[in-house]
Amino acid sequence: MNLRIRLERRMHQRWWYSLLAPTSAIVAALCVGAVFLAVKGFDPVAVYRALFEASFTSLYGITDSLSVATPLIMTGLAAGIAFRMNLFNIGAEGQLYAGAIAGSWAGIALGKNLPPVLAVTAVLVLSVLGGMLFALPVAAFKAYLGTNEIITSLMLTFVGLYLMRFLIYGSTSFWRDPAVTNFPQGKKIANAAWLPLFGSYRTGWGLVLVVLVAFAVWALVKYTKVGYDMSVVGSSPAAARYAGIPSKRVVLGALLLSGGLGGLAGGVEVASRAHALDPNGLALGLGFSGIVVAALARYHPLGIIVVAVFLGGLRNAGAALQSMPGQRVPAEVSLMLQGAILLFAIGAEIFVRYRLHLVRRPAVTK
Amino acid sequence: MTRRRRAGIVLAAAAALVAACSSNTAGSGGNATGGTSGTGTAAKVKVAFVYVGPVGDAGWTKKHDDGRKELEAALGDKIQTTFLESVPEGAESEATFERLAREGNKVIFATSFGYMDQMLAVAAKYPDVVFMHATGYKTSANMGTYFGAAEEARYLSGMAAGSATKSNKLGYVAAFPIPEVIRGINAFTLGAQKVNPNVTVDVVWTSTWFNPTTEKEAAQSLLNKGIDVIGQHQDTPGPGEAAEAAGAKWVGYNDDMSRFAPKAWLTAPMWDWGPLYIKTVQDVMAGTWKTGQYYGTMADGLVKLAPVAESVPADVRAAIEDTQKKIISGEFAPFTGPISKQDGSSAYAAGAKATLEELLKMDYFVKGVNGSASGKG
Amino acid sequence: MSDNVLPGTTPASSRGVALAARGVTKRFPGVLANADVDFELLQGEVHTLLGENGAGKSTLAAMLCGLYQPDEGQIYRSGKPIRLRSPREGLAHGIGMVHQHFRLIPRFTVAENVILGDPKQSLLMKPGEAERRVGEISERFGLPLDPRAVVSDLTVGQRQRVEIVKVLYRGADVLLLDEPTAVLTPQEAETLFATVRSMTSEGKAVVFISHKLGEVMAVSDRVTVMRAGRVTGEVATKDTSARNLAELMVGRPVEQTVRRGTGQTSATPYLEAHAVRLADAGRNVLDDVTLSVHGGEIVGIAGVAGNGQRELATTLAGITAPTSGSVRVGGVDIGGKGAKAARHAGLTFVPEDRLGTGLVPGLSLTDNMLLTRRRSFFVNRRAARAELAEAIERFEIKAPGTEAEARVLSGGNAQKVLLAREVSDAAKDGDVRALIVSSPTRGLDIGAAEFVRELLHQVRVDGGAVLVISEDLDEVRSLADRIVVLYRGQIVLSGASEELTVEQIGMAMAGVKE
Repeated sequence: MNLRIRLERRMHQRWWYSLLAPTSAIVAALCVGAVFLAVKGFDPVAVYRALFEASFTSLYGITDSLSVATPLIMTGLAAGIAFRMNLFNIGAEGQLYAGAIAGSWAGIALGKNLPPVLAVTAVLVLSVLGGMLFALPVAAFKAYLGTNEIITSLMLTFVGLYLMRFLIYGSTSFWRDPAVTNFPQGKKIANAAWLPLFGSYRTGWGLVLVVLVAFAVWALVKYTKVGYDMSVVGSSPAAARYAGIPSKRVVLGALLLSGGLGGLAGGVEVASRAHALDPNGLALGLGFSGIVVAALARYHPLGIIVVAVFLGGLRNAGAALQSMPGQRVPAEVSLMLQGAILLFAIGAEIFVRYRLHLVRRPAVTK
Repeated sequence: MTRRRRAGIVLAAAAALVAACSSNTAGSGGNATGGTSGTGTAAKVKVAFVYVGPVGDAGWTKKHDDGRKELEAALGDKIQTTFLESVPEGAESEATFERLAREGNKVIFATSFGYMDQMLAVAAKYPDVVFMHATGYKTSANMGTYFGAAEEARYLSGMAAGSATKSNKLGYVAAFPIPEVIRGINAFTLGAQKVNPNVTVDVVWTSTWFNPTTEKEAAQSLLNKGIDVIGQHQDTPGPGEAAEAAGAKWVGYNDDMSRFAPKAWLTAPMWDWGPLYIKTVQDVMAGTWKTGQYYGTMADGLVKLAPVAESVPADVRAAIEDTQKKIISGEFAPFTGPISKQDGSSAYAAGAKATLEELLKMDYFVKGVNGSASGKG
Repeated sequence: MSDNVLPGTTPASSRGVALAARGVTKRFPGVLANADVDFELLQGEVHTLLGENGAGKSTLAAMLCGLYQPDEGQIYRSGKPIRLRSPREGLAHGIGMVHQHFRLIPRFTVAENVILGDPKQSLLMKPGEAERRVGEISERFGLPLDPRAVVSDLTVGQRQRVEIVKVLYRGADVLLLDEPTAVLTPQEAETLFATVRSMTSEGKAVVFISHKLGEVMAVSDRVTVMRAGRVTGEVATKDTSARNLAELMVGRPVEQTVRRGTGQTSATPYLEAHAVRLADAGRNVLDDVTLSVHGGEIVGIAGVAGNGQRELATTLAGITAPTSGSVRVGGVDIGGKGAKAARHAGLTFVPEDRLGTGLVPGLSLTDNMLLTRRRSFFVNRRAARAELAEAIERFEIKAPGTEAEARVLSGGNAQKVLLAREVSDAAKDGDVRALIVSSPTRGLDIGAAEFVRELLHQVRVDGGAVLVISEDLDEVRSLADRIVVLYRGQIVLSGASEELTVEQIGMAMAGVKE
């Protein structure tokens, strides 16, 4: 006898299923992680306690987790707004670089002559434009030529990475600090263009900003014509055509919005943490992690905040786990947990949409 | 993705001296105060290491971790070490340094350039903790830097390379066009020319510190041009593997990597961080640690040459041995005139020696190097 | 259990029971699809499963062929209890199903499609052998087919033959045909019935699934009627009538009403097409179509699926731009100007594909009410919700609530929501009211279909212009004042309903010119 699994689409999806899916994904991933830890000779309870304490108990831990969560919220929104329309812009990483390039230009060139509020605004606005500009080929090719956006956005990510590296390592560009000759570094943006932090903590107005943006995206999606049109185009192009909604423009707009949010992630990073175009410190895979965040949050803008804080904590705890007294947990473990959670999140999605039937069948049917 | 950021020191010796003097008033580390823990056991001094990559089994991070182990072996019960692998450089590292300081570490070593600003920021918040940053140039009352004169060993490795070539064409897989890498290429070239005046060195830039594929491909492109000895500045044995497959020779870096390409292997410049780590921690425990910019040499034992392969002729091995003794004794320095620049103009007249400051700012190739010192092409 | 001849069966039962279900129950989440169902198929008979949509006949058929497993009860093959875990196991027992939606690979030939997935087929295909056997089978059962023809070149009727040959090729002697005539012209349906008879004359047994009473009476020996998951009757065709069957099916007396307009129509047409041509990949999907619909009349477009009806609907609705020619609503040219322009001119449109085009499955019913409405920057759901609530009451729509996703609706309820939106929209706009409805009652139960027909009639009586596009000829004839037949994108016949006979229309649908 062998077992066969059969999926039947659920007729009714209850609202709490959508909470159940990510929660069970996280629990399942933690369980798998626990087994892995135990096999490797660690005490899972102690490791998870250390993880939790490092990221969520002390004020320092919490603020550091929030500091990591800040860009993840933005990239999560960037991915989420596109993904919920079945537009797979996986290029938030590259759009973040483009936003950082444009934003740091504003911070260096305009920052010193502007009062702080305007200087910060200049950085953020330019970063949004940078991200949009970078997403423009993806958006235009998708909307008007039907080119696969996964491929174009991924390719452009590499373009963005190499452009950023070129500007600092490969050329004496405007962004490169000429005062430092021994190793190429980005020029610092003007102090006026910094997003202030709260006291001596590493989180600050950048977090406030991205949370506000998340609420704005949520309101846009839920309460406006733009959001409505995006929902229709995303879930049924035929219905959009039938209703006279200009699908191409909506697709174009959604991908540009996604790119702009990705760019803003770069702008916020530059204004609140990096303070320069730092090809290394910006290339942390924040854009790709945003996809995980968005998927776990089922593309809900407010859910993205929660998930980003959780994953930010997980990421932040990596260092704490490595310095645990007596039980040094390798950095890979926290990365592995992230990967496992994504995997389970995708799996859980199937359980939300479908009922699972186990069917016994004989091995031989002759 | 490239991870490593290292650089030489920009300040002149005089500036370092000023910094060192000013630090006297700041008072550092203190003698094993036991941190904040309320336990009654004899408090160990906690020492932390922050690495940019995984320790792995060869290369830059491995050598630092070897140094950490030497430290543990030397000071035993009196200390407790922690190391963090794969900590990304840039903004996110600040939280890591602060966490280590808050966990009661008294000395924190960071081994990559890109931690500089973050470490400086945290150092300002924790004046009782000693911060040591490899390859950087920013210091403060409780933050010092350390690095070393790899060019001395590179000169010696160049001698081995110059003797091994049949085509008189050497190649160099270079990381980034920065003074540290440029003076390594120049030292390698000068060493090679010492035993074989006809050699030229072709340079190819990878813009990587650790990318086996890219570096292997770069080496291959050199080998395709008829080059038969490869030097390198990155952390991977990729170029060595390419040389081994092509039947060429290879000078590695960081560590004895002969097992990756036993036939191609000639030798390599190496680091030994152990003595520095031991001395730093001892100084902190004794309350005698001072900030400053440490630039170690072969004489200090920080820089070493890996064992030279048997394939190198005995007379050349003897000459290398002899030159190494002279470098250690101070009788000889690799950058001693006459040295011509790539374009034929004179860099140093006969007998003139490059100063440390000049070395740390070197931005030109010497004669015999083919390629652009600004990284083009 | 051995062959258990039920009392009251016809003498034909002496032929033996080919396939039977006893006490079969099947539940789906929230639905009792089959409740204690008994069914018996004799060798050599055509046995119809009759019922409205959702009555449970497809579920029963699915269990008989192995697609589903019963929760309770037992299936018997030639008297022996069997347990079918997959359609493949069903085929192994000689039971094969021909689905309503074909499962053919368009780029393969007939023979290749037939041998595809055959468990007895060895890895190395022998096309010659397969072609020979396909030819044999098709000749024997009156299913003319060229084994080497590529499926994408075949008509719908021919593709259905391929599906039947496929099942016969695998050695099935019990065939289940799921709504086989839905896609056929009356003439093609006749050919199919002849094939069915030739199969039964060779001792094969056929389960015929349908809700069309006329053809049920014509083709079957016995009929099992289902309603709401239960069997409501099992009768021999010769002992019953269409009216009787309809009552068993619906549970109350049914009258097929013919409705006509008042004859009072608007002076100028509300909806006009003039010399509309639509080219697609070098072929004219619509060719010189000229028609007009006045206020106060219903015009019906008849035709076999795929003869340009869908394109005609989208072109008249302003969505598809005609290659040449003009489309006017109330005298305003809206050709290719988009759905909004057409709506602005007074046209509404109920598309054939309700869930996916007319309604967005993933959006709430409230949001779906807004789909064809003018929307301000901030979406106002309050009015839509109130309108929907009213429609739910008035149209007796069965929905979990105004915020439920449209995808949970049954076909009939989806159609009601769609009509509620489009018809009320039409009633509110100025003078010109034109409504295009594609397949207005397809998949609807008799009650819902009656409701929809009455609603369309009401629009006409109120002075609206209605264009009904349907493949169901009975429906077109019962509603339309004028009938237009579309064949390969051309209007081949047009006239007042009363003046056209079924035969005339059927010939025109098949492309036979008089």
